[in-house]
Amino acid sequence: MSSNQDLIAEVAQSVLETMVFACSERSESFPAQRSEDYLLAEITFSGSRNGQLLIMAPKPLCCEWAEMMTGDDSADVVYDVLGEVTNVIGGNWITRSFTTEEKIKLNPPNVFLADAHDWERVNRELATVVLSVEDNPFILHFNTTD
Amino acid sequence: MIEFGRILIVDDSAMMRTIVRKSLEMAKVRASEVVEAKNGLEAWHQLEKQPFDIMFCDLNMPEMSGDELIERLMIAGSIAIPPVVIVSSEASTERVDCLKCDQIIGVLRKPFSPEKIVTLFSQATKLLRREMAQ
Repeated sequence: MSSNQDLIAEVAQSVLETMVFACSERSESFPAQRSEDYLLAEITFSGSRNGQLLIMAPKPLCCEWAEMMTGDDSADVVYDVLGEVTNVIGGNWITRSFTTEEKIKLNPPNVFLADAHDWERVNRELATVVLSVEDNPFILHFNTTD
Repeated sequence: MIEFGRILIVDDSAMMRTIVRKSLEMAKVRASEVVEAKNGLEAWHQLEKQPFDIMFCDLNMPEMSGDELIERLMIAGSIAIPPVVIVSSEASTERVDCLKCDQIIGVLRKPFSPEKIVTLFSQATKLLRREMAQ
């Protein structure tokens, strides 16, 4: 297991605990639940380093967080919650991965609705780290282009 | 209990605005009014309408970013800039340092604890007292 994978897992676990009070642990891959919708959040960074962080989670888990944090589980808020979690994980991961002298700008996150087919693809081809968040799967993938 | 005046929270994330509000409650900050803005442009309009005693401001926002808002306020000079707390997931302070704005009293790195908010309010109170004395 590379130290970068350990680092992003550690950052994600800490952010999830602080932001949405969720306990999580490292896990093996999760098969998709056919009936379930998923959300895919993407955040890119640019500057002296360029890259992307993808996070995928079941939509019901994001709904729970939205309801708990804001008392509102409407679609906008649910998308916003996963986007903000991704933003904070990305910011903290970049901070701990690169020196403070590097000029790296984090761009606003985008969140999309995904299905079981997308989940299988991300899980099979892209997953860098998989967490189990209170028995729900939470997939992280990152890449840097330089 | 910390008694405070009017607070402006500027963040494009509804969740983060709620977290700042809840952290203020947990830090026992009682404000006369808390107003929210979704981006720098909305914040600009709020600041045009009425003065605030402190502003919590995100950096990365659509329409107008936090640094653009502060830059625009400094250039305009006609609107009072309240003490500003930058709330960001970026650890580098380069974007904040570039602004050279004396009203920026601190940076809250996301995720943050209510204890950090208490410290920043005590700094904001000192700044406001100094301004009132001048």
